[in-house]
Amino acid sequence: MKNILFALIVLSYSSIFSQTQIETFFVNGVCGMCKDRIEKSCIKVEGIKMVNWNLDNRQIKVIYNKKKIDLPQIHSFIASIGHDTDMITASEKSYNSLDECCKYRDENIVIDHKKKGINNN
Amino acid sequence: MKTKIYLLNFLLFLSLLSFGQSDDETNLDEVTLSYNKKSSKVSFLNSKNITILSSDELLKAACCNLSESFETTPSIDVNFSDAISGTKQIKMLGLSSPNILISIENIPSVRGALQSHGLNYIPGTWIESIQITKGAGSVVNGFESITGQINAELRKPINDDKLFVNLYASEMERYELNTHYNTKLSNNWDYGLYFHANTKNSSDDRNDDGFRDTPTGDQINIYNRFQYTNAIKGLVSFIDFNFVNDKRVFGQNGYIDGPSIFELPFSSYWGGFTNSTNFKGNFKLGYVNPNIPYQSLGFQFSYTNFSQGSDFGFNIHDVDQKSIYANLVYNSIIGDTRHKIKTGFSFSYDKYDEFVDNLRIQNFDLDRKEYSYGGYFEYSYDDLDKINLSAGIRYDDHNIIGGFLTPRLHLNYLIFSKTSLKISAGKGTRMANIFSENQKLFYSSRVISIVNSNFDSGNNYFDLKPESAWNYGASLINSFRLFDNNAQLILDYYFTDFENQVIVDWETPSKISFYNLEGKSFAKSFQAQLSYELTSNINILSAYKISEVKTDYRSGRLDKPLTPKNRFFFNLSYESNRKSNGSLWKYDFTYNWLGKQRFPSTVNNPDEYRMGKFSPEINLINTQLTKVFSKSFETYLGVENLTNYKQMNPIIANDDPFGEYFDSTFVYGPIFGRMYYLGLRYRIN
Repeated sequence: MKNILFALIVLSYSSIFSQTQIETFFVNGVCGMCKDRIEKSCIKVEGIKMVNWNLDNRQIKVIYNKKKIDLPQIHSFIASIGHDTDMITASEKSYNSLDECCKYRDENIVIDHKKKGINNN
Repeated sequence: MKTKIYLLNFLLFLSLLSFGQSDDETNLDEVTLSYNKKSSKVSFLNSKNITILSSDELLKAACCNLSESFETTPSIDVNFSDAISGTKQIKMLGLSSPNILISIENIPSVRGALQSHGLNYIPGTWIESIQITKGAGSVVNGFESITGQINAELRKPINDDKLFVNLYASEMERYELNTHYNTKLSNNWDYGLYFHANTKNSSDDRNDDGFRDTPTGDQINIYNRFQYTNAIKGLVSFIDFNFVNDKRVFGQNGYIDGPSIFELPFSSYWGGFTNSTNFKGNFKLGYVNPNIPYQSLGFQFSYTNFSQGSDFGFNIHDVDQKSIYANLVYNSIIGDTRHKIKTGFSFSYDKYDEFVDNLRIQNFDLDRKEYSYGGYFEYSYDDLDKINLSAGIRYDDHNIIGGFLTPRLHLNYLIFSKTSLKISAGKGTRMANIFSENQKLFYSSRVISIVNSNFDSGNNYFDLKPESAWNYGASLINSFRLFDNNAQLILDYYFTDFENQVIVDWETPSKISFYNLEGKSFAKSFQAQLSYELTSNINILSAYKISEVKTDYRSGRLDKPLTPKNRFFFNLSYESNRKSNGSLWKYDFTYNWLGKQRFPSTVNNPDEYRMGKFSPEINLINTQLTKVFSKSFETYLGVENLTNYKQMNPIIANDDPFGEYFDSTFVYGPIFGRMYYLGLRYRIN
């Protein structure tokens, strides 16, 4: 047990040297629910290690293992859940699957969110 | 600029997190959202049962030091240890503070010989926040915690007020001064100088038992902090030096400090003193990879040199402790950020030089070393929906205990969107320090008996085995709306089951025995807590606690003495709306009812020196009014023990303190009665 534990600890430290790719790009969205959807969906994708989508500037930061996934695949995944990226526009079908309050292509909804100052929900 | 400050704080926070128990994304939200109204809260999603007390909560009672910071927190019980020293003891889940791992910024701090007075060396105003973990807790900070962990975060030079002054005076003629001075040394370096002094010269005896109700004395306490922050490189470091000098004189009203009771001519009065000095140096370094924020590395190093000399009538207890502690912790993920790991190595070394003279009948010379090194691994999983778990294990090699494992598991399950269930299980192991943890025995004529000890093996600490226990707990948290306002109900049940314990047996008058547990020793604790936001200005917190703490003594299975089985707690706090000039009122009211407490047996005493079987029930009220004049100035006026409850005969044989029946350890309530205090706070940002 003791030796397994110590091997585990030493092994964990080796992840300091692991290879990761970091990318930041634009993903369209409008509210906290969008943030939830984008982050929770992406993190479950094999190869993606960390996601953070910033509601204020609509930039996403993705850290991923480039041996398992590449950047175009990440863009197309995000588009597949209904969010436009600066590379791929989501299909009408996936866009329509978004909740009403998340319809970022609708001017009125965007203005509405800004008015209410709802950032989180 | 704002973004930069946010980033700095974020990094700073991350690096602090990397050191231990306060870690979780949930906490991250709680700390960054500084406008949260509630000053005391239980984190809802965290796998561990952690109550966070903000500095606002600490202001509800003018707490002088860490031991008094829990007056408005029902999870922690605060009581006096004896009728003479004025020292307060804390309990969690029915068990006393040695069973709690008390750390300062995640460095285990109030331990070993510091158990007797260490909480008094952390002034209240220095504390930024406190995290109370019920149950096993993280493995990152060591193997010693049995019922839980208390971590106090101190003020940080980078974000504390430039200047802060607090003056306090109480009816007991206790005066306190706290000052903070913080300054920027360069782009990356900040410096903080925190100073505390207290003094008490009057010697009241309000219960007319011939003894001062509290000791006289003074304390000087200086804390130097250097903080290095480099957001671009992701580095945060602290270099701290702390020095404390504390003197207390206690005893009969006629006793004057010196000549020592051991020098001719002998003082004809019972009395004594405790002189303590503590020097502590800490070094902490945290690195967060600026590009990969889930990777961080933290290193902590601490050196403590504590020295305490005490005379108590014909008892002497002198102890020196030198300690070194080091911990290296690495945070990362497995796969993605739903799976986090925390892993590292730690080292601990304590050298004790201890001497006890017990009533000139016997003495003990206890020079000893304890050291251990170990490694730990903690995995936590968050499914981003319902489940949050943390599973940790550590292995340590200890020069006396040998090699042993410490497993700990915490799980939080979100049953409904506003209802969560936490369960935990874990083990703790520790070496008892029988004299420092039970220093109150010296305020009596009890003869120390260490049963079955082969004193030649003093190296093995009287053959007293290391203590170890399993702790299991469950907690149901339910947030709901009641009459359109927020309410939260928490139901807790914890069970602590000792495998080994050093039994402290007070059951024979004139004697105190220490021996290894043979049979069972356990503590069960239930707590129901309801908090309610009556209006946007008034918050209510009430709690009912039932504890059952039982131990198999040589004389049979008994409830732990001087531990109330039942306690009711009620707190109301009011805060008026802030006016445009920044002024507002705050009012706080706390009521405690403590059920009867069992007295250790006194049947073998002569009639006049017998106590009943149980103490009476007691009702205590504390209240405080604060007037905030502006952002920089406020005053407060408070009263402790408003109903003026006094335990009238707290000392057995107070008329014959050098006789064999003298005992001041039968304390179940306040001795001093009602006490008014007032103070002011002034700050420049």
